[in-house]
Amino acid sequence: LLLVLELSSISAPDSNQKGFLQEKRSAEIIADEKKFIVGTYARAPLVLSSGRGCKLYDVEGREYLDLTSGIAVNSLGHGDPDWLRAVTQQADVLTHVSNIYYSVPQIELAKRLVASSFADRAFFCNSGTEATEAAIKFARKFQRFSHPDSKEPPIEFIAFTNCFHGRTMGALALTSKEYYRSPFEPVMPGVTFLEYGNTQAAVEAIKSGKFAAVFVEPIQGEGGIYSATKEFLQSLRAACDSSDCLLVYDEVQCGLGRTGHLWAHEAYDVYPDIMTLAKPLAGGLPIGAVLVTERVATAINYGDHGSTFAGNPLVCSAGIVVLDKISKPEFLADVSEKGWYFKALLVEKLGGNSHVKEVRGLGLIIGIELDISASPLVDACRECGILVLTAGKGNVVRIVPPLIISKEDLEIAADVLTNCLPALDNQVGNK
Amino acid sequence: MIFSPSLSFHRSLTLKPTNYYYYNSGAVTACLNVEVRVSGSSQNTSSLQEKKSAEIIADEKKFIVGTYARAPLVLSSGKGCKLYDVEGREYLDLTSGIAVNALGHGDPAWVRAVTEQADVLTHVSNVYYSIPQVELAKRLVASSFADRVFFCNSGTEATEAAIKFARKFQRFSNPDSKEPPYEFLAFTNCFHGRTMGALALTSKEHYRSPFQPVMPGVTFLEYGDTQAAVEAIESGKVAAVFVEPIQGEGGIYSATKEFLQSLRTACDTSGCLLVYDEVQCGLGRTGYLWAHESYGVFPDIMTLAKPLAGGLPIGAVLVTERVASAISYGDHGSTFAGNPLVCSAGIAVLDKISNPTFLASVCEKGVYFKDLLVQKLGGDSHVKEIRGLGLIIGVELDVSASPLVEACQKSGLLVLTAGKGNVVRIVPPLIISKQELELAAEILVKCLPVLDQASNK
Repeated sequence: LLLVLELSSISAPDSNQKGFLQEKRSAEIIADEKKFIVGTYARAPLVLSSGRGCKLYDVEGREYLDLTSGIAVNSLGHGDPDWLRAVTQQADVLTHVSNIYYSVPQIELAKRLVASSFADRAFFCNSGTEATEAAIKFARKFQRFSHPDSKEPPIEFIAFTNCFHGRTMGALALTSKEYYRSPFEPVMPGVTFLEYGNTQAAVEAIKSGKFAAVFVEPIQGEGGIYSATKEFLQSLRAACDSSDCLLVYDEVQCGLGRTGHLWAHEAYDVYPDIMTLAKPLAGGLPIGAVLVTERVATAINYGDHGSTFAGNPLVCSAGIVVLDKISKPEFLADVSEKGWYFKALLVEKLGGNSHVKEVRGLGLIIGIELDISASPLVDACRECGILVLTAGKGNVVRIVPPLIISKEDLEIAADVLTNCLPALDNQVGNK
Repeated sequence: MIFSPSLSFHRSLTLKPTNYYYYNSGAVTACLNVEVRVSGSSQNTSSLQEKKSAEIIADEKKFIVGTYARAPLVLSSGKGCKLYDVEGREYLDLTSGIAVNALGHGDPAWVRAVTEQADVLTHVSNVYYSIPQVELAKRLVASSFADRVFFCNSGTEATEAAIKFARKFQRFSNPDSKEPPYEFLAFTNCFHGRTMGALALTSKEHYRSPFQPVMPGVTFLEYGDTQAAVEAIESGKVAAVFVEPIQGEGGIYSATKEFLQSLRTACDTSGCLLVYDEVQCGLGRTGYLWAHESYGVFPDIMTLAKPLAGGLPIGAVLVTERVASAISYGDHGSTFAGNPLVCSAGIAVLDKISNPTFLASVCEKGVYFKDLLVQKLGGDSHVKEIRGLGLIIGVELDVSASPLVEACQKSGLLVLTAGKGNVVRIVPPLIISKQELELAAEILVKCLPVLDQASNK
């Protein structure tokens, strides 16, 4: 029995000003996308045109509860008033000057990031993949700087199975899914993949002395919502310390409050040398950041790396607002509490279903592992007004809502998920 | 002559000179310090702007990874072609943030688009459809050689996407080949980006060497050496050739039509793809919408970024249908790319820039300014050449340009360098007025003598 929430004729807020654009029906827009956009994305058949808080609206005005936050980007939901005010004001003052000159918002954002983390310095860029690229460069430069007389300083990297670090040629080389890499070979050389969580293999490899850095996500998002154990991270840390290898945490998805801690690694109390961030940092505007220790920063000189847009006043002003909100202890405690509540609710309501293998995660990054493809469930949920993602091999439902989501909305989500479960039995075969 | 602040901007202006310097034998050292209170919206950020430059510069040195050797100037607001530092001094902007702010600072249509869209929908990811990216793609396709667009977040990301599309295209086109062409050609003095793929294509060795091994398979040839390029392409090993119609970072060097035409022909014969990097020279900068329009030689792929969204991070790769057919779901992606807010800004920018009247004006101003510079600077012994097209202009010197850039800054004019640091690079907002260009030329002339005082770097 599918529970269908009929939300007819809901008028999307503030859509009148964009009326002429939104009069186009979904089918037309989808047809246009198929004609004018390079076909890299297999999108859900949904044309979103406005949002408020945790609600999204399509061009026909139907409402959806957003448990995707644009892949863990919209942490403050859509149209957060403080974010909006910061963007609106700064856009009228100064948007971009390049890094030839100094500007204030990037420094203010850097100070806050440094004050709230293990790091001593920040480097800004425009995306998660750019953050990975910067981390790659910083690590190799650090090793060359630290081994000035060596003919072969450590320049290789370790990454793990099921990981995801980005799509540009350096980050891509670190990304484990082979079919992401193979059409584009040869990518950046020098990457070894080890099993995520295999402490022994990782420690042995690091101790070989060949590695510039280890890249690890404390919680693998794209990979399927797999969390590292404290023991695994601790062993990486110790091995890195013995062999001068750098430990890089990719918190692009799991960082910035997603777990209920400001940084996912705070839950483990094991600290990195470098941390990459992106997604939620500027509330939806493109941004990336690499946080580093002074030891790493010392190795970096003028001209080693750069970016035209990075650190621009508009994006950084947005970042300041987001970080100020997310880093509040009450905000984080609230995320933590809602996370526990929701996970317990999911276990209670879904745990008994034969397709549900495990419900896992921390804070508001939650995965529901199924024994089959999750796509029918995702589609059914969408038809019922709930947006969720997949992860792993497509058999994990990934739930990463705005961090401001209410318990009430989480209860609705749990109900809809439960009621849509039978869709898994209606489909034939896995994707 | 005292450099007087413009009275044409809507700010309350308290003329309270605190320092007077004096002109000395033509070298501009005069500066009227004016306390400018920036109106309205910035009052909320006034606590940020009260900090003096020195404090802010010290903070940057402490909290930011030291990758940039910045000019000692803390900019805090802008309007049109004018920028203001934290002390309220005004500068005429001939940098547009490295050819980004094509519509100047605070363009009303751009501000309106951003402000409105930010309140409607900013980001949903590419898991779903959204309208502004489709609208922007349609406009880009309608106004270019291309059939389709891929969005990303920067120029370097655009290069990375072009690299991936080219290699996939070759594998797709040569399915039975054990070794389809996967190599790339790039040229001396080029610049395509700083991430590991783009970096491999960027000629300055010291940009690459600390980070080796980068992506393999890149050969560098001399920019303009038709014969070498044609030979290399005809070897059949090359997936794509990356070329800037006008090299920006490299020193404002323009390709000849013959060079581009030969690349095109050789690519057609051998199945190699021709990629134009118009990140800096595209989108109206030359007075044409696309720099390559002035040559009449069309690419298979074109990368764009910088001015496209008026300062917001964006990149785009324009491709032919032939190239696009080779790309499948999952081949590439980006979380932020194509988001509604950035693309709405892009629509506002592209609509303005692609207007024929706008482009004609850029063209006219470019010719006017270049002539003015030749007239006023051409006689100086340090000035070797003044070149460029539209509003991307280089003044090549026989010494380092840094002293001139610094003197100009002190006189309220912002310009860049290029090449080996001996080229003054001028890339103002495309909306700059003739009057402002005349003022710029005056200041440049008055600052020239500083080149005689400084020793060569």
